[in-house]
Amino acid sequence: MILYHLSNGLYLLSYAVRDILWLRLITVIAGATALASMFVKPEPPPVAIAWNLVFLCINLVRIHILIRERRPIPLSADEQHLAKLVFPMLRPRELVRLLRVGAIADHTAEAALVRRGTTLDRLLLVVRGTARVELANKPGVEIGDGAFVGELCFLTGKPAAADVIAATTMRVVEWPTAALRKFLDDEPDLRATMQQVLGRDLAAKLRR
Amino acid sequence: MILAVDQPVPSALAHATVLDATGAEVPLARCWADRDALLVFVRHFGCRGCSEHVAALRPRLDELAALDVRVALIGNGNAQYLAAFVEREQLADYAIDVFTDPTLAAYRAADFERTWLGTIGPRALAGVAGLALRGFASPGIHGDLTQQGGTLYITRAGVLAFYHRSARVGDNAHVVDVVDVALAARATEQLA
Repeated sequence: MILYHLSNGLYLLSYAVRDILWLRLITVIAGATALASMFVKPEPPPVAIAWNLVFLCINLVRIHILIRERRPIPLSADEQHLAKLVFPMLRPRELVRLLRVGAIADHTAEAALVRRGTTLDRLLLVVRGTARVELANKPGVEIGDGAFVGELCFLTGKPAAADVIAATTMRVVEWPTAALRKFLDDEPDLRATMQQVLGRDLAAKLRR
Repeated sequence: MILAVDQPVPSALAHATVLDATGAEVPLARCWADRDALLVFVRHFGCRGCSEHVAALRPRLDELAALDVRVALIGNGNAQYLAAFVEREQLADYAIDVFTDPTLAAYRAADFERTWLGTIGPRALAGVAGLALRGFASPGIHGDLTQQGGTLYITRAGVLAFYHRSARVGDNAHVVDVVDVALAARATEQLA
């Protein structure tokens, strides 16, 4: 009888906490106590025990997921650089998920990142290095860390209007367009963040 | 009348007029005369679904302004309701124009629905219940109850780039989709 009351007391406590992880942890302890109270009965009720075990398993799985999600995630030097320059609004885990849709690529100086008139199947973000954007009949401009390459093609689906040549050795993030679009479609918050970042970049270009 | 994406805005819509807060007539075409325009037609000014739409749009208004996109919100109550709506939705500090169209002429020109089903049909009522649970309150009926809203994005060249016709309360265009259209339209101009 004491175990039964203790179990219900713990359930009561679990309803009072705000944090979902604590709620689940206390519920698990309450469930385990309830199970103990059933096992000490002369005739343990098998159906009630079975249901309590199901609840216990679901809560344990959710607790495991919650702890994994809340665990701090270390960022590499490149990721920290991008977090500071381009994505200060993202949590480290969100940034890592976004970056993992693409891949890091290194380019030597004078390598062509984009050729004018070609349809790009990727969006690039400069991690380190400098590139020259060479437009037809317009003075070229240099871009560096934190700048996007191919973002106008990504936004419009149209061919590139400029050559982009690495001026130094470069490290870039390369996202395949289709994979990035699919990822962002499934992640509305990250889609809004990406829109914000690309929009800021585009607004600066429109002001030039 | 045909409203088709990637086609010029029909002249009936371009020539429709709305009223500003002072009651002065404003031709709708003025919104896209010198820049791209996002026109959000709400239902009446007391609509919960429209309040939710504005809440989703509000944090993106600065981005749209930076892209040189004019945002205009059009309701259909009288000018007194318009002022109360601006205050309630905390829009005074944003770059947004709010108009009203009490005659519903602009709504008709935009081919938006006017239906009781969209207001008190089962899906509409379920939507209203969801909105109430999410904390969106209605101060009352401030305009035409049966008129549904919609969203249009019109480029400065007068081309319709986005069109959403609401079928019922809470059936709003997704703001991320609208921002995508704005980005694509402005990027196309930059490429040109």
